[in-house]
Amino acid sequence: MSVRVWLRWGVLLVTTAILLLCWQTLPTGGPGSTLPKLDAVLAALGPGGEWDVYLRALRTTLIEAFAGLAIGFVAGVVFGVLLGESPVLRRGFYPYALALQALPPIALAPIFVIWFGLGVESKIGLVAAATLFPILVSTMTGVAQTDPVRIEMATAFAATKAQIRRKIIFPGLVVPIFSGLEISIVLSFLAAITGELISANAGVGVILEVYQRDYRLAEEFAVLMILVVVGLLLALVTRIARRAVLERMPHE
Amino acid sequence: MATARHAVELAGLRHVFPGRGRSVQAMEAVRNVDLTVEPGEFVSIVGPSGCGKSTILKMIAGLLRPSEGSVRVWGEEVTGPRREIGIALQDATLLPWRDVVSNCLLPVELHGKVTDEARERVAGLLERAGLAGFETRRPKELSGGMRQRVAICRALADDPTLLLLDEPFGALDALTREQMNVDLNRIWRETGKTAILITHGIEEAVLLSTRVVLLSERPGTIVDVITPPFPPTRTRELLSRPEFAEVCGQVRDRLFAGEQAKPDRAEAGA
Amino acid sequence: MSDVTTSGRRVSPLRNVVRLLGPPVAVGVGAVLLLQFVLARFQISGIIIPRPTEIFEVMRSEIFIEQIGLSVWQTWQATLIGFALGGGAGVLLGIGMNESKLMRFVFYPYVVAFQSLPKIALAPVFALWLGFGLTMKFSFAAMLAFFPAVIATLSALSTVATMRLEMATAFGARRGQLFMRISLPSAVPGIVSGLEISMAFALIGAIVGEFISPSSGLGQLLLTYSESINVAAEFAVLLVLMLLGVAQNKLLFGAVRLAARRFFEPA
Repeated sequence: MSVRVWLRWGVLLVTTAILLLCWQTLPTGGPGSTLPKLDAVLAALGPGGEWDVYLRALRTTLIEAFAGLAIGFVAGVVFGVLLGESPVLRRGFYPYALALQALPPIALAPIFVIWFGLGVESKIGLVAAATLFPILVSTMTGVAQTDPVRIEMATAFAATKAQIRRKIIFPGLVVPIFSGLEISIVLSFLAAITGELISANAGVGVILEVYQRDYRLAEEFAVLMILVVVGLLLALVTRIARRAVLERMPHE
Repeated sequence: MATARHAVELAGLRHVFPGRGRSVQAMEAVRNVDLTVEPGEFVSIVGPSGCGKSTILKMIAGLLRPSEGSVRVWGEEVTGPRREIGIALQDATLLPWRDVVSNCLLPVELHGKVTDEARERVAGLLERAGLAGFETRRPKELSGGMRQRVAICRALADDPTLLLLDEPFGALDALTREQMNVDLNRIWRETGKTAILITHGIEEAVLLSTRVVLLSERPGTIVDVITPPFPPTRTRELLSRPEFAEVCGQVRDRLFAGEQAKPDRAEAGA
Repeated sequence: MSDVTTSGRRVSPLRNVVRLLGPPVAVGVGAVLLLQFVLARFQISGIIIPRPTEIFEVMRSEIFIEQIGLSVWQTWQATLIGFALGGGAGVLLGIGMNESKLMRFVFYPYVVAFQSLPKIALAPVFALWLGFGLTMKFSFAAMLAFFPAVIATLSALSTVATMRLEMATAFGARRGQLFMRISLPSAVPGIVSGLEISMAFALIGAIVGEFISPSSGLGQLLLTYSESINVAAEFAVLLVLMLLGVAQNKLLFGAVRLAARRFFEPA
């Protein structure tokens, strides 16, 4: 290995070590301290931590995220194809789709609580609303931007409308739908937690607030660390899924 | 200027792109290239794609360091980009946020201050390249051929003594390319620059050059040097003359001879 | 909203307006009428879905106008400060990470780790550290605005066409010249798109900040109306928030992006 590589790793490790050291020594850890010491957080992550609480909360949040994502995905693809195929519908709905997309989805959280109460249903609704638009918009643009020359080519070979849809338009959608889905996966997790932070009876957002209210900051930070790992895993799974999808499905 | 100096001297030139771990193997692009270009010459380097033509040009431009051997420009060892050199690449690489004139003035800016003299020179070059009246246009308003003309004007803007052209017309259609060749010949004569052109177009090389250097497949070595026996002024009419076709045929034969040697070499290597 | 679709052939201006504006107006008016009719016909409670006329009544009331004006200002203040700080810092870090390989190597793992944390979950911690009020709101907004700016700047700078850089290098450009004259202008469209996302996130940050430590702004207003189950007012706030989002994300950034495209986009 070259000197450069050693230097880089050295600087990275030293920086990390200094950060961790500061985290351990700077917070007082006593009453009134707003940052738990590193060893306290690690202890909360260890076998003595409240793993049953963490995992139950995480399960609730992930169920909300995926159920909502599934609804948002199906609705997004269906409406996206509909709007993409009809220029009139597209012209009619597009301004509203844009406007709704500009509305921060998390602002809908209080409404969903009114509609569906404190349970998982309101979070699922919020996640569905938040994840719908990225998928809808990318599907719609995918359909609308199908190369007209390809459609002409297929028409010249006397393809029917259904054949054109199946053989020309849909294969071109795999990539745009997946890009929309990637954004939505991140959004789903985010929306679920936001919903829980605002008002809920279970989930990651709830235990974060409960731990903070009870001043058990080590546990709160432990949950945040777990969220980093879960987020990394989600990103990893998405990446693997992308590769698998692109290998199996016809695409550009 | 000392008359004895050569414009460009390549001696024992070799370039190997280093490998990286197991995934990227080291690749020898150019081997043992000796070439001397005299002031005022127009030399083309022709060879199959991937033969290291561009690598040679990049070493002359000071963008790549040779692994072995030396590159001298006007008698001095090349260690980095030099002011005496103007370059135009296959992609016009015009900056889309600048108009034609300020695109041309880029090298002048990079070397120092933009003087009135440089502005006048650029105006003259644009005029000569048939771009008068397009000075304030943006690149996206120009055709592909016009963009390449701008790129060549830019290469000449800071009055370099050596012009390096890396397949500047490679992406143009055949008719435009012919016109560009005739125009380039005129600009070369009128400015009296030394020029080196990388191309895979045999007709283009023969039409423009005082000497045509033929390169083998990778690793590129010089197979032959052919001197087209035509006066400096080259016109479109030359293209349909039998002598022209004969020289082109000669070039093609030599390149093809190199191609045929390949299977033997591969067998010998195996 | 006439910029939504591009017109093909030139037809008479009036027909063009009808062609462009007809469908969205028809959909809008149709949806409002249908909603009004269905809600009245099936006697659905205004607590579940308010009638368009109810929302309109709320939006006309003086007290709502007064409250919403103040709240929009409070939320937007936090959004703008957060955007300026977070977006600005993000662009700077992106530049630093592109220019220095060491910096890139050292910061990258941290950026990735933060990137994968659902950063909304940090809202309670921000409330703990910074209490209630503007500082907490704009800091949280800045944190959310920061990462999209870093990522977009880094990717825009690292995808500048190599040939462009090679050309300038051959003409003897020094490092600083290469950055100022080639890389940075080439990256402007990408950076602007990234900042657009930053601004949207800054707005989300401000509102979530107001949800978590309610002191002022649209977030608090939404919570207040939600607690008093004033659904019509809730919808009215959402409508205003949507317009605010459209104004900042689509109109403001649309203009900036158009300008950036015009001046910097590859030909």
